[in-house]
Amino acid sequence: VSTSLLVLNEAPFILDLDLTQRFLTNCGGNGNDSALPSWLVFSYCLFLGGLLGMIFNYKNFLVTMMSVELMYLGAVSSFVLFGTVCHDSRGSIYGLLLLILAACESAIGLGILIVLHRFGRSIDFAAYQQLGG
Amino acid sequence: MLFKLSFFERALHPLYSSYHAQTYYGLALYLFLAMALCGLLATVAYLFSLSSVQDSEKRSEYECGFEPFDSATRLPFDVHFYLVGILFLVFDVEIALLFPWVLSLRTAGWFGFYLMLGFIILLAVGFLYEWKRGALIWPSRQHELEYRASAKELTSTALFLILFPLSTPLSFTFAGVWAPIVFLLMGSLLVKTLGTGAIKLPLTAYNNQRNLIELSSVVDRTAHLAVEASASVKAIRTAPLVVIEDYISALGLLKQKLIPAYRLAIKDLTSRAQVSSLTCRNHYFHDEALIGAAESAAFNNLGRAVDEYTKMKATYKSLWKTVFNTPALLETYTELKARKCLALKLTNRISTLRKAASVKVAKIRALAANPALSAKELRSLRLQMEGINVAVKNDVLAVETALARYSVKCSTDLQTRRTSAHTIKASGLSLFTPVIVVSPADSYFLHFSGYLLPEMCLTLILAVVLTFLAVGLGQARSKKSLALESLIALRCGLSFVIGLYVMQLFGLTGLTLFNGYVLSSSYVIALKMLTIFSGRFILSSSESYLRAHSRHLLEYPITLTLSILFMLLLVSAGHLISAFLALVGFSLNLYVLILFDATTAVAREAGVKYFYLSTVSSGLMLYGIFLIFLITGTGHFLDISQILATETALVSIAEPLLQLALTFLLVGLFFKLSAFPGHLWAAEVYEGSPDPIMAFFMLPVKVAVLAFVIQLLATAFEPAVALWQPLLMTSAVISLIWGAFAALAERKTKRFLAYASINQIGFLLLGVSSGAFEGYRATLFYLFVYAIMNIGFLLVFLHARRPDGMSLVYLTDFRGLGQRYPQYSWSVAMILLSMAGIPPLAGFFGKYYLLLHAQEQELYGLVIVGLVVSLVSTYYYLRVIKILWFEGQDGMLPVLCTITRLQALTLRLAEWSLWAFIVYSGPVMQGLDALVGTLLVFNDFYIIAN
Repeated sequence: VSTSLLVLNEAPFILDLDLTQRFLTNCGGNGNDSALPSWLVFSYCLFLGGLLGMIFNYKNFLVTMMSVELMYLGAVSSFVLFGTVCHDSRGSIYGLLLLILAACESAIGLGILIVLHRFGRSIDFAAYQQLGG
Repeated sequence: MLFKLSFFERALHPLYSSYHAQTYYGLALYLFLAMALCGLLATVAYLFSLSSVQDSEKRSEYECGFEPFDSATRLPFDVHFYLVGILFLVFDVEIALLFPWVLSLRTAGWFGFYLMLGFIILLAVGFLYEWKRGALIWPSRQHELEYRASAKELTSTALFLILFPLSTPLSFTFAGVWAPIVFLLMGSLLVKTLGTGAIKLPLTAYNNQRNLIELSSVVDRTAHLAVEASASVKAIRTAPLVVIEDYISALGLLKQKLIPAYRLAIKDLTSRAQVSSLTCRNHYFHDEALIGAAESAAFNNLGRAVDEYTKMKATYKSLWKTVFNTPALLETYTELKARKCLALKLTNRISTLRKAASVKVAKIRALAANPALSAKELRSLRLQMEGINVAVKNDVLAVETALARYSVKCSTDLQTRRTSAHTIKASGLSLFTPVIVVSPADSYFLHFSGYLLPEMCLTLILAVVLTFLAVGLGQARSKKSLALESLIALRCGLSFVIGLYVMQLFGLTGLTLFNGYVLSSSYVIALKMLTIFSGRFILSSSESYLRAHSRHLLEYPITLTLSILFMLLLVSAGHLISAFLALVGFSLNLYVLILFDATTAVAREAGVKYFYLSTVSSGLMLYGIFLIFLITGTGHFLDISQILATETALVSIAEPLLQLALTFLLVGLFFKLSAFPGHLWAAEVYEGSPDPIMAFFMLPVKVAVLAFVIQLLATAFEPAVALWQPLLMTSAVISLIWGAFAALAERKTKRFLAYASINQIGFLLLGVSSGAFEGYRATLFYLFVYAIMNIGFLLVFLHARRPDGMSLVYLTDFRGLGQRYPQYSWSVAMILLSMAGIPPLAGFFGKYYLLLHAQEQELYGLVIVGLVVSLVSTYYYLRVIKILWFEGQDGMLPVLCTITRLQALTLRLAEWSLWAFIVYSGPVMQGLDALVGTLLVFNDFYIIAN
């Protein structure tokens, strides 16, 4: 059942490999050394940078949006690098789809930015703390 | 389909010779189509616009609004907005440009790497330049004029940032001879763009002829390498096929050699035995020595045949050895296992044949060695020999047929191998295979017209309404009346879609659509119905909001319906990526919906906060999805559950990572549900957003997301129940306590509702956390009851107004509603009692089933927390009832505006259904059993269908 599923739905490259083996090769070699591969660390650092940027920035909406972009970039690049490392075209396709989402999100974010500036005259978070909680 | 694929393959093969490019030609085709379409449209627009604009006054700037620069009198808004927008676009374009580099870095070598480094350094320089020029500093109004002067330079910098990076990957794409030409073209374009001389460009290095030549040679070399790589990859791919062909030919050889020799030996043996027996008969009384010689000659021949046979077997064995020692074939071990088994059978058969033959030969030899043989005995000997002859013939026939069957099997294997190779190639082009149905009802017709008809209808309705809006705007009609008309049209459309779902609900157990990206089952359809029903309720209740609002809200109904459409897709998602797309899709609409009241400060604050937290949670979810994708190699729910259930080694190795992934995923989803880690936004966003949008958060959003959570946990992560159970329990308990105690002290209505809904979500998650049939059933029951209760309560809240026209901001504003509208207030009071969990009402049974199930699972702590929290909630619900009925009327009575007869009926029905549960508990629970059954059996069904 599983092989037929793989043939129908999945990429051709994992067809002949054991799943565990494939996971281990993706995540740093033969299983004896537990070090993660650099591409995973890289994308995770990007993601974490964006996340920390969002958490520790409570000043400016613009910087927040850049952090959002960075966070999405981390996740998207991890998909794309997964696709590259595993010769799996799905990774890149998902990456493109998510990129579109990120673009939509930043477009709406810019819209919100303009609304804030036009009506609220400020894009600092300090100006938006009326609702107690 | 396959023929089409091979056509594309052949058509595109010479263009993209490298192996990676082969897997991407689907994308390349799409890109080409998109570019061609853009070009066509641009050409058409160019032609038509030239012919239409002839008046010079029409072209003057005044017609197009105000001048963007140097106009100190009036500026609609700051040019910095455009600059930041361009910066963001550059950021996205940059990512898109990094993709091909990521893929081709290995083949492009160090040169490509340095080129990329240069690109990034240039970007950084541009960024620093922008920074220094102050594009990132948001200027106050006083300083705006100073910055405006430098706006031109900033624009040119942004153009530079966009255009320059484009040139490098383009030159890579048109490899070889084209590279210099493209480069020069792009360079000249750049020089033309930046001809104003705002900044000096480091272009000299790239305009250098030698560099260009080197570049083109490197590109040539890369292409050559890619061709080589693709050839070797092809060789590796075809190696198993070659081996199988070798193997078949070897077997053929074996068959050719073995069978005739064996047959010859047997024939020889029988003829000689016959001759000897004949001689025996003829010369019985004459020459005993002659007989003996004949006999021995016959048996010698038989022995030689046996020897020949063993030799054949040895060659056969060595052949097998060579076949199985080939490493390439070892990789396709699943196929070879079957073959090995067959080969073993054959060798066994041959060895038993040999053994039987030798036994018989020994017997005859022993018999013939006896000197005193009578004629009768000789005759019997002859008969025996004939018997042996027949037996040996039969054996030979059996081996022959086995070999023939084997060779047929080998050739069919080869055929299947070839077709599977073809399938593999085809699946690389999954963009071209939009539909693979895995269901008994295997037809495109059912697919499109049956299972996704409601969603397609909704999309069509949205498109039609948009068109009519555009036409109406063209006729200069008032925006408010247009908005109200579109609201009515969309309301009717949603009712129609509910009807379609009712038709679908019966007789459907479960199936996967669109290659498994979309699921459909009774569970999915029932929850879609609940989502769309509550969404329709919000839409129709928005009418009074639209009428009362001073600004035009033209896009409001459309955005709301679009959001509902995305929720429907979320409920039926069968893949993590499709689920994420749907989730972010409706969140995007919600950002807009909150900010429809952008003129008020609270709405802006709510919009900012929701945007901020929603994007954080989406990012977390996305990374969780990636981790699951990394571990299991798939995003399909059903495949994930299968892998988690069967691949124990993988799960034990990747358990910490899986735990992390589930935490990320669930935290993101808890945010959308406003459960524990993501509950803090709820009160503020509810308070800040418009009333119907707050109701939208409370009803369809929660229903859809909870339906998705149950689907995800019951289908995909069912085997990993131990990993997510603690998370859900923690979230449920803290949400319960937090919601109850925060609502206790709250005076504002919307905040009160927010905390109450956090509490109710805690109850719902309590049921999900058990991961068992009864838990899901109790959760679904409480979800339905939750929807009914909240529809009833919100219907009154959304239509009630204070005498000054405001909505009921404080809970004390409900004062006097009971005296003025006793019927409606009675229903509201009953609904509140049901929320509190007073026995004969359905809300009590909802909580009762949830806590009963927790008690059955021996989670006594949870039961105690649930009971205490329920008591606390009884207090604050009773407080609202007290305000509603028993606090004095002081002339400031609230007014209910424009409740239609249908809405009044809805309210009564909601109340009656809460009462009636005690009568209809049997059928209701049976229906829920069926729903949960399809949810849990879905896995097995899928496997059977394959």
